[in-house]
Amino acid sequence: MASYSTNEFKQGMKIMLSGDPHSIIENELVKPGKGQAFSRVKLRNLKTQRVTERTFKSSESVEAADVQEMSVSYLYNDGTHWFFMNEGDYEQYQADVSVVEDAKLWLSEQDKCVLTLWNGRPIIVQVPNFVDLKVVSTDPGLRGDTATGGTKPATLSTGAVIKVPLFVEEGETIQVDTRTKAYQGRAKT
Amino acid sequence: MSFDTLDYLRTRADIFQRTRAFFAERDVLEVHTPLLRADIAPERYIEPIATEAPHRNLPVHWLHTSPEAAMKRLLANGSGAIYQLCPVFRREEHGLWHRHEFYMLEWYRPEWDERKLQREVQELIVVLLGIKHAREIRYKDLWHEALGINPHEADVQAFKECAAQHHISMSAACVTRTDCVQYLFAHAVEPLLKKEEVIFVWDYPIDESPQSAEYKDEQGCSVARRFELYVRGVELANGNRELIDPDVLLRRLNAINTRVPLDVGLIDALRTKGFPDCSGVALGMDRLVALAMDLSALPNAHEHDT
Repeated sequence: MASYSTNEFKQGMKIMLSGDPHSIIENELVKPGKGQAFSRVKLRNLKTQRVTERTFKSSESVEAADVQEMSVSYLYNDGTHWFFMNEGDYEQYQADVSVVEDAKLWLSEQDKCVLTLWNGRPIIVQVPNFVDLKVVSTDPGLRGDTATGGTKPATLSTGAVIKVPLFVEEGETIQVDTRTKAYQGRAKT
Repeated sequence: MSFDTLDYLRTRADIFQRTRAFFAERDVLEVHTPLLRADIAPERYIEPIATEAPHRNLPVHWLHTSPEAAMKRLLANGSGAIYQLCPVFRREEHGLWHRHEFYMLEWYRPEWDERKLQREVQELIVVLLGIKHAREIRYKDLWHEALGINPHEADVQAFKECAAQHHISMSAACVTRTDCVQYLFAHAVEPLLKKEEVIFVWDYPIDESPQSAEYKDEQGCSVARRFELYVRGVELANGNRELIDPDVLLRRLNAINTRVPLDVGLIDALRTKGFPDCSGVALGMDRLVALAMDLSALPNAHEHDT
């Protein structure tokens, strides 16, 4: 596998650390006047999403991580794997249920996603910022009921449960912001 | 933090003017020494930048990394107290607080010990930054506070165990005692200084300070007569009692690996009868201006983006 010298470190570079692929968030030169140079690096573990700080000696060598991002479409899932397709070359990729733990609550067939692949296998699935999902279960809103501040829980077709305004009915398709998990409005058809 | 260029230029000009006034009041002579040199007094971790031969019949030249060697020649010739404001150049240094070219203030006080010089540095900081109170700590006490270990005595094994105890992933590339000291200092000790407005750190290891005189502290550790000034965690100045023994200096400089011819003129200067016992200090002016303006880095940090 290729390696990088700490002198080449750049934001966004992908390297291996303790067996996991990491992305460099920040790279700071630390060098006292009479001492040798170090790189103080902030890294995100791409498997766990945890951020750590490490200090490297100047011209130390680290292993490059084979990480790439790819635009794909979500096809379907069989309960254990979620299947995506690169529409350019029709290559298919499958992600474990652990990788899609959060993403699976927001995915509908044909949704465009960004996969982060490590050694060719998906480790992160980024869903679109806005998705349209059908409300499969919710209480009918009672006129004048303001005790809950004007919202009620609704279960969506994916199993996600979010707060929606009282006037939203079962069977309606709504738009959700996947970053905030918030109701945005009725889906525009 | 937004940055106004004109504001920066004005603040900088004002600081330089007040610096000159400070030294004029104290009868310290302003000098200018050559930036381009055929030889350099080497520093272990500072690399000079080469230029092509400035003139046919001359070899490749180098931009000075500090005016120290040239100013010591002036001291040998009886200049008395001198100061210089000049650019210096260091290869491969770029970061939030580093540039390969930066402005240095360097001055020398014949017949002054390092303590008297430190007081003058503090007076300058009052004038330029308005900060009146400075703390002081010894290098070994700072280590004790950060990691509970004595950096002058611990061996590689002790450093590795200390790092493990403090959950520090010390790089496997650290093999020598010096590597361990410098790694842990950068990673765990120096950051402690961020909480201090102004602090002087005293008694550095002698092997990091080749042009420094030394003494034995109360525990018998050989330490350099050297202090560093930190302002808000930024290393701003480095001062010491100068080593004036030419044979010891020659031995120390020869031990440093370098591709640049050694400045033997510096050794000769120290051999001159009447070379004064003196103390000297170097201060980063670009950093000082940035600190005066409360910036979180030197301006234009995002060139050659990392």
